[in-house]
Amino acid sequence: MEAFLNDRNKYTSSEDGTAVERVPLRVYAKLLGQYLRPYTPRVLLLAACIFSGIGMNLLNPQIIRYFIDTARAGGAVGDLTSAAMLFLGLGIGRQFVYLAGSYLGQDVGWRATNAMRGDLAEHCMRLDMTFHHERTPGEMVERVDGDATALSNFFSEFVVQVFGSIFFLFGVLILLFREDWRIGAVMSAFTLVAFFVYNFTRSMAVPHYAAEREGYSRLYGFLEERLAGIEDIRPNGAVGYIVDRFFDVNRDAYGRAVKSATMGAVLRSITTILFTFGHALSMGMGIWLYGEGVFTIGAVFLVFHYTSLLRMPLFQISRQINDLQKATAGFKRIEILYRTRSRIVGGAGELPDATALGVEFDDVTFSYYAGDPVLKNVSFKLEKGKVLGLLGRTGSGKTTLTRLLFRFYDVDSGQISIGEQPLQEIRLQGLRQKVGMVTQDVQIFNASLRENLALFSTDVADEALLEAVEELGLGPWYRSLPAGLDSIVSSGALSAGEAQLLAFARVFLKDPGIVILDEPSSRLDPATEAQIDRAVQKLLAGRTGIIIAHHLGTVERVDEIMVLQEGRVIEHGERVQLIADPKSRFARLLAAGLEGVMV
Amino acid sequence: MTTGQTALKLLRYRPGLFLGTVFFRGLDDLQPFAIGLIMKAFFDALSGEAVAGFNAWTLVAFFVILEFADRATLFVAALIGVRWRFNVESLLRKNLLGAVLAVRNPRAISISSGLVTNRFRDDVDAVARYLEQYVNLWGNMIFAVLAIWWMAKIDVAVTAVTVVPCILIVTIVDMARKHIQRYRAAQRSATEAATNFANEMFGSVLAIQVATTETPAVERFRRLNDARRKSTLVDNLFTQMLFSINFNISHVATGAILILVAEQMRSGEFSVGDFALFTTYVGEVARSGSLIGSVMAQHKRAEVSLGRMARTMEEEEPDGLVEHGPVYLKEEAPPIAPVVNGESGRLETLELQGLTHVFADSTNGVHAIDLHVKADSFTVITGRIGAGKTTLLRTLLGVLPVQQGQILWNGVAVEDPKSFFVPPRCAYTPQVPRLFSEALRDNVLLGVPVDATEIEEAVRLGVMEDDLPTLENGLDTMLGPRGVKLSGGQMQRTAAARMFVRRAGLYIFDDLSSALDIETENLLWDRVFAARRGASLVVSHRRPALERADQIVVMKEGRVEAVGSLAELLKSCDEMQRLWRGDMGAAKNV
Repeated sequence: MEAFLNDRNKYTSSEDGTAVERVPLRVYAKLLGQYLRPYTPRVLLLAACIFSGIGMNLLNPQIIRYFIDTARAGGAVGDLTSAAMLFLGLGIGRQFVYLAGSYLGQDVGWRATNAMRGDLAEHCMRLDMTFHHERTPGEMVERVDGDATALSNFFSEFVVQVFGSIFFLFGVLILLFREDWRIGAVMSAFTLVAFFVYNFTRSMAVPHYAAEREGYSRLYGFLEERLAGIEDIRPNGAVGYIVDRFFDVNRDAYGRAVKSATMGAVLRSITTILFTFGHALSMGMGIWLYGEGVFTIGAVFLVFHYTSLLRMPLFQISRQINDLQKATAGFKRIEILYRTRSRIVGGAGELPDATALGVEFDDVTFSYYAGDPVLKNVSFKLEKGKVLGLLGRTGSGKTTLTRLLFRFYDVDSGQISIGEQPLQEIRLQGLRQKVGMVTQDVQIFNASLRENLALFSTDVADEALLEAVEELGLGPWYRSLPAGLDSIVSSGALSAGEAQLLAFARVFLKDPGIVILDEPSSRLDPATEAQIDRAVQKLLAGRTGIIIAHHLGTVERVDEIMVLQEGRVIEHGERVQLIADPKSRFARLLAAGLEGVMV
Repeated sequence: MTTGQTALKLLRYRPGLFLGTVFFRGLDDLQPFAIGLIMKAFFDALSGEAVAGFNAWTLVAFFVILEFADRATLFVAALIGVRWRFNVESLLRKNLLGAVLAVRNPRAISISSGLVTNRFRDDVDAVARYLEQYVNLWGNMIFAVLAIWWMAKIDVAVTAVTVVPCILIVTIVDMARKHIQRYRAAQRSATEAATNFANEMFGSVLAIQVATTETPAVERFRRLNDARRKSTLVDNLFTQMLFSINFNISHVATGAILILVAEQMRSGEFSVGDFALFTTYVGEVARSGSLIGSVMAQHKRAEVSLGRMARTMEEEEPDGLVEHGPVYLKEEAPPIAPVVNGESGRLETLELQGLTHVFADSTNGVHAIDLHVKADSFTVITGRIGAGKTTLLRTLLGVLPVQQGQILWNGVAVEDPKSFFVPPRCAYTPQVPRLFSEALRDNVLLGVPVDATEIEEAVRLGVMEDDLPTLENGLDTMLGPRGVKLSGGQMQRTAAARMFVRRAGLYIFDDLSSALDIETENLLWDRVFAARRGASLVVSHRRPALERADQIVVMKEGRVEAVGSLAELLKSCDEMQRLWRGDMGAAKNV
């Protein structure tokens, strides 16, 4: 267990950002390339917008210089007016170029990050249950959606702004050299220094931004979980306590936000002060070169103007790098997520297409936490087509045993086989397609009935769906729906019984070789239970079944009985034989009646 | 309360921090005015057009000093600003949380917890952003007035040309603002659809992995994200259009200045310094003008968000959202008033008289329920699915409104069941308990200050004591998200312990035993009986509960079918016999 905890700590510390190192630019470039490639035409069009915008911006100060010098030299009013008109025209043209660029940038950014959100979600949905047990759904949404949103700026703005800015910088410097090599050299040196200062500050803020995001993530995770549990809070008089805890989590986020803001202010101060020197430099050079007679007053204006223009791209690069730092934190977490591999790796084997599959446990020991086994040396064999009733106290390992059949977890030792194939040699999806399960808690999505039945699969024909609906006696309910299979159902609108029946329909549709019923009727009243009874019989016909049951009534139809106690099999045999043997636990249980205590 | 009044109330929340932020940000906004003056002096000094004044090198020094001072100002502004904003956000979140925890229909909150969390995040943010506009507004307005005045001193006609674009922007935004709300709302609901689905999807990993439909489920997420992209693009294009007009307007205005001053500059009436001053100011003035438009746009967004938050609170107006109160950002909140564990909640009699709640658009619900619960008695409500058992409990607890009839507690009518049926009068365990990612101990206590023996006793009553050694750290075990480290039965028994740690006159169990085996259930009822803590009201259809009941209430189709002891009912009530046989018949066949 300790090893496990250490592992987790390592993971958390990098999530906190304390151990986040700089992400090399080429990693970003790879990411960019991967997700932007499908949109090459849009990206090219975007580039065209950016470059024409840059051209216009570089041209403008030249026009003003021409204007000032011509005016002071007493040039023709017509020339001056033409120059002014050109300036005006460029201003209006730039408007459209800007809008088009902004739209395209956003579009490409969203398309790219949406692809990433989808890929990431798919990756995470396939990770093992050990991974998901450690994280709330809210946390996962923050990882998959929140961090991707931070990266969306990276896609939509970063490329536009940083590449645009770099080209713009070069343009300005070249034009400055054209005025005079000395001013060009001085301003180039300044730009270089500025760039390195920005680059140096880059890594400074990352941990603080990451910590801030983590604080908010915890806050919203806290709120989401409490809101989901609101029905437990009020009647138990815990409202004050929850608000109190909210203050704690909120205060923690506050501390992080203040630190992050302070760090941001320090960084911005560095860049601004740098630019103050840049401007002073250009003014000083202007005074000197004007005094030397090299510059006209228009040229001094032009140099000052260009220096101001340097500020924008460098500021943009700085801002983008700041955002990149925010994105870096998100990017690191996404990286970690992507690198997180399911501990469960499927094999290559396929299960036979038989309706029923046998199950075998050979000396299986399993623990969620090392040193605390939930199942101990469990061995049993269930022939195909037989139905096993699983009995035992809560916490005796019944549910765990059935979860292992899906290979949600791997065993510590021993071997589980299905259809005489070792579990780890079977393709994971293939395995799970052959095992069906109805759990105590039915997950209902706020989606159409069709999607709820097929769990979003589009391969299932409507006829099959309707057949399953009718088969389970949901027919009358179905006909009361306003839009048939397209009706939106939500967990609030379904009774517990209807939800259970819906879960049964899912298993019907799946047509598995092994059916697991995990306390399927626990929350149903006996009358509704009888309705399901028929369906269960039908479902089990010709299939292998494992039924976890607390009602002895539920096990009447099973072939074999197995009793678990603290993770060990303490009794296993044919139901008929166990009944016949007065010393068997099962027989004693029956003799004691329903409320008989298992000793 | 209008959105403006709401904003005003929020601005008065931390006046010191707000005014501090306004002051320092305002100083920063005024700085371009001084920069413009320096620029004018610099070019005039250089070109020799200045009659008298500082030489160019001195002006460069001034420039450097001014920029440094501005940087210091902004630094202070950032430090105060973040504190101010977080205070306001915290107030909104605190009030929203308080109101949400008191809503009439908590189920609507719990089934869309992801959606409601967005209110705490995005809508609070939208309101805070709107308020920030007021921080920026003042300095910019003062700057605009000063700059226009100064420019007008130089040339009134040219100044007019720079002011016109500002008015233009305000007008355009004003005309466009009715669209903002629509685009924004569409964008929000698309975002919510996507994030809410993601929440559901990650909350149902097990079900989806069992069904092996990971890919189609994610496919739906992708489709929702694409819809979100489209609505975001529309929303953004609109915002960007306004922004780019603002950005470019200074350029267009400069062009206009060039045309206007061509003649004067030729004649030297309009100096290069004047030109430098105009080009410095014109952009800033336009930006200041556009700020008014921006305030309006944000006003609309804030209005949408406030409306949404109010609806979440089940209110028409967001007034409760902006009530001032402490948010404890620096120090811990004072300890909460402990639940009184004593006689004050003792139940002598509980009477329901004609209690009715019928769901909208249907005849489902509970009709004219009469019920009498005596002190220290054990009442079981039973019936088949849809008989109205849980609806009855929910109406009693005030989760659903009482439409007719009344509830009498010790002979006195209960006015507001929602706030009445809480400890020390009542404690409750729902059908599907929800636990939190905290220590087991905190999940049981939820803030009740009790000593070690009391929590031990509660754990024992909940039949949880044998589970403690199997958990890694006993009562201090962190349960993980939504208590996932516990089994279904352990969760229910934890919820039972959570209920028992509260001394109450009436304990309400909504089908507590559904995930328990018979042995554990028997043990639990035995202990509850032995403890004789107060009256119990239990929804169940299982024998261990039915056999112990002082009275059984059989419900059918939303009405009370029969009341009596088990023996009486088995003789006289068909429905009871059917329910009883459901369990018994199966056992006989084994």
